[in-house]
Amino acid sequence: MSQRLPTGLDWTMPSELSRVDGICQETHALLHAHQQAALVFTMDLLLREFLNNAIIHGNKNVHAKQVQAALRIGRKWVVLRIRDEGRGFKWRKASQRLPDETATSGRGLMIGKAYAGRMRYNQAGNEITLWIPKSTTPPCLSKHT
Amino acid sequence: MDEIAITRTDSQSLIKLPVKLTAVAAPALQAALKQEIAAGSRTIVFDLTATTTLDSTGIGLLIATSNTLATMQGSIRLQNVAPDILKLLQHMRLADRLRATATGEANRG
Repeated sequence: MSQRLPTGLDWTMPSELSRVDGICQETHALLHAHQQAALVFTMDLLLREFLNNAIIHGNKNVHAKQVQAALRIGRKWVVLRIRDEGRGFKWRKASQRLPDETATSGRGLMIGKAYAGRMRYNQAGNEITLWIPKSTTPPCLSKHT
Repeated sequence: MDEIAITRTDSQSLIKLPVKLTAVAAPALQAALKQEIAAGSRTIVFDLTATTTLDSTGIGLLIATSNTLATMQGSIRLQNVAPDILKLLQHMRLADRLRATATGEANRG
């Protein structure tokens, strides 16, 4: 009997940056299994960006606080959801700010908007959901090529 | 973590970046950069031949280095940047500021 490929991954992890590499590697393997190798760079970028945000800004690097993440591979989209135990942030205001070229931080939301087809925060701002289209070119970059 | 290889000639340092330029790798690189600048380096060339992964912490470190050197009439440049990373820097409008050039492309100026 043939085994069906898993279509998703779920993680609950302590707030440690060293855990992010492992999640990225598991995601790479799943994307390859689903013939979605073209999405590896995009998914890696988004996972790192928003897991780092959850650990550093959401949970303030408190190891005892958990980060939950889930990834689902659908017919047209890969959906990534990340939640931390922090109080959230004013994401509407933050998403309107564009960092100037000398800024050393504050590019996470810009990356999310550029590489996900759709991005949504919950009301508090401690859970983000990203929808990444199953195509070879990130949505914003396709306008430039 | 991957090794960071550094070669210094007079006031220029060539730094071969690791596979991952991420939040985990940034502290070690930041320490190495402080050492290079303290030792007199004013031009830092980052070679990204091996680099396939980065995040905004890594990008932030490159910008911080550029900002610091600019106050000392110094500069940085990035060479041998992989296409995906170069596209990201272009989209962030940072490719010119960081003087980033693609793999095999000569850097002008």
